[in-house]
Amino acid sequence: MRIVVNLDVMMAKRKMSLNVLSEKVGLSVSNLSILKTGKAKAIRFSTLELICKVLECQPGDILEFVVEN
Amino acid sequence: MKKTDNFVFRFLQVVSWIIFIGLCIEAGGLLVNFMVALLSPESVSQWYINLNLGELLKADEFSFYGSYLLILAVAFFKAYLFCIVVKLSMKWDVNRPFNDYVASRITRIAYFALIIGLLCLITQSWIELLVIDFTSASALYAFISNGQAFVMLGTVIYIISAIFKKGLEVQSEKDLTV
Repeated sequence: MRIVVNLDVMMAKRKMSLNVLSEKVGLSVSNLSILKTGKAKAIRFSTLELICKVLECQPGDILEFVVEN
Repeated sequence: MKKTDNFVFRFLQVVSWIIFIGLCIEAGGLLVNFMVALLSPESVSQWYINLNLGELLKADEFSFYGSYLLILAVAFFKAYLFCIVVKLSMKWDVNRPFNDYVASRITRIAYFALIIGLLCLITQSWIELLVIDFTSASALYAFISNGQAFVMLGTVIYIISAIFKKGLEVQSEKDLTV
């Protein structure tokens, strides 16, 4: 069971690159990359709020709970 | 880091180097003596720091070589322990103090301190069994004293290493928190 980050999916839907997103959110590209590749251990609510605001989506559009068999 | 702390750290680095060099010289001297004892036992009375073990060698070769090997092991482990301390002080990064290298080295220091302490205590007990007719045993104690101190040091450093590993875990999690 794990949390999957679908940031790349939302970025593709909004046609936004990682560089543009990092400028708008105020996070470094490396930090966003950590999030995008699923290596992040935790995300702050403030960061999630900013990403949702910029990508005009809900937290559930970015974070998905997957049950692994 | 404050200037005072920095000065103390540098001073202790220099002291560590001096101790390490001293321990290497001691271990080297004991090793050379041991090799001379193997090749030329008759010269055993004119030894390093006047460590005259001629009586013990004549009385019981096995006890002589056994106790000497234990003392040699303690000397080498002490030198290696300070080698780790010196390397750690040279590679320690004040901006990222919690890393796997430092954690593993601190744990290794703890293990070696415990091993040295236990070896010293075992060697002391061994020598005490031999000293009934052996008057120069006091010369050996100079190399294996402070066994209890090393055991205490090892225990304290082990606890510190456990706390350090937890700090490393917390730092890694913080680094991967977006």
